[in-house]
Amino acid sequence: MEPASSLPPRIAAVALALSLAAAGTAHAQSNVSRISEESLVPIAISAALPVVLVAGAGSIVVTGVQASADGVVWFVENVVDGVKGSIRFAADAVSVTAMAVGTVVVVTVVATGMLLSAAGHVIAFIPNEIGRSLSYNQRVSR
Amino acid sequence: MSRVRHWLRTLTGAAGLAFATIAGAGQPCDTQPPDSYTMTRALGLAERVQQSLDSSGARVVIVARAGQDLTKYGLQWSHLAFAYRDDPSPGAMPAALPAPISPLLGQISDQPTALPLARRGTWRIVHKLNQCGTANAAVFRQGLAEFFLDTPFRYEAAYVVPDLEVQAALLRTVVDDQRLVQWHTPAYSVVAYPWSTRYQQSNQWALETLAGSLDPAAATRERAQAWLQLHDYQPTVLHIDALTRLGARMTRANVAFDDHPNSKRFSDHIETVTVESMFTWMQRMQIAGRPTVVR
Repeated sequence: MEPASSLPPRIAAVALALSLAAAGTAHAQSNVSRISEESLVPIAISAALPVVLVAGAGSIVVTGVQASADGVVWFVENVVDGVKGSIRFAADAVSVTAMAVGTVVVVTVVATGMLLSAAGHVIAFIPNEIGRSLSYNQRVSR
Repeated sequence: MSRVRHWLRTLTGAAGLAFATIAGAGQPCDTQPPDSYTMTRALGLAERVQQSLDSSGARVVIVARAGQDLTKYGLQWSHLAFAYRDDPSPGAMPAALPAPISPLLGQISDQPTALPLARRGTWRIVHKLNQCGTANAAVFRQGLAEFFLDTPFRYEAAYVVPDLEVQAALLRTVVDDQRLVQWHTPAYSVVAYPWSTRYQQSNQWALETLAGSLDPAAATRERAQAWLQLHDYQPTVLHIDALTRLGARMTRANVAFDDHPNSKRFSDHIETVTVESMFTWMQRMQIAGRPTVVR
């Protein structure tokens, strides 16, 4: 569970923190933040999004991108009502660092989590518990 | 000149059609992310396969996907992998859980045993991937989502459940990174000859790894192949004419025929390891049941 105290109070008041903290082994490898090396879809390790988006489909706009040694955080805002939220990624997801502020992202809820799309392509995946169990990527041979 | 161009275009077209990838793991180097429809279908199939595997009671299965349309060769499936349930190690289990007991000998067994659902781990895939159509491949451990996200031709899967003894042998291999590469050769050809070690395609790696897991004496690729011949494994025969072979060799880094005996090659008789041949052989050997298809 994303701790509410890590969010600004206004966000915490309106956002539903998804229980998306990385589960041990699935994120033990440095390259597991992409669902596939070919498809290059980064996987969020935690997210706090407006309830209305978690319940169905909608759009958010990226209002800020903050990179640190711990990872990258997108600050987002619901297009309809301006409610704010955030999505956190592992540090090695290059494409999330390069996300342009102002990008409108379509949120689609599926059985395994939430798909974030822009310009017709999936740019990130926020897995729920089922989605996390399905995702792993480790190169065994050199 | 235009004749030459036409001939080359024909050759290239034939090669591309014929070698979409027999072993199914020739990944195009497409960095374009999938659309949400494609990804939803892949994730949905991964979830359905996970549910089916959970209810199978198996701990290790051999799973196939339909990465390419190979129906012109009479094949439904293109690529296979081992899928195993990554349960917590016995040391991590609470002491209250009874140690697995062999029903026959009353001794501790490392054969797969039923675990309460809550203590079951997640399903992991181990397989060999040829990336970006190069002449090399590597072994990967992935989730079911990654396995089905490689833009399959059909969103379907098939798996066979090996018998308990085979599962136990495979389980020792699939969790061990060193054993997973014991029968791995990086040099890749999509139509690698089953009785040569010059190249290795994805299904061949799985077959040889299975053989090596079942018999400690089959510790090398050569010995694993000898074991497979001894146990009457029969590869699939593909009929590929000279023009197509030449075109493929010229245009695809991951296609080679120089590991095939001349007598077979020049009679358009190309033998290679396919999902169907492996499933059929395992049933004939009575070490696995019939395939279960998940759609």
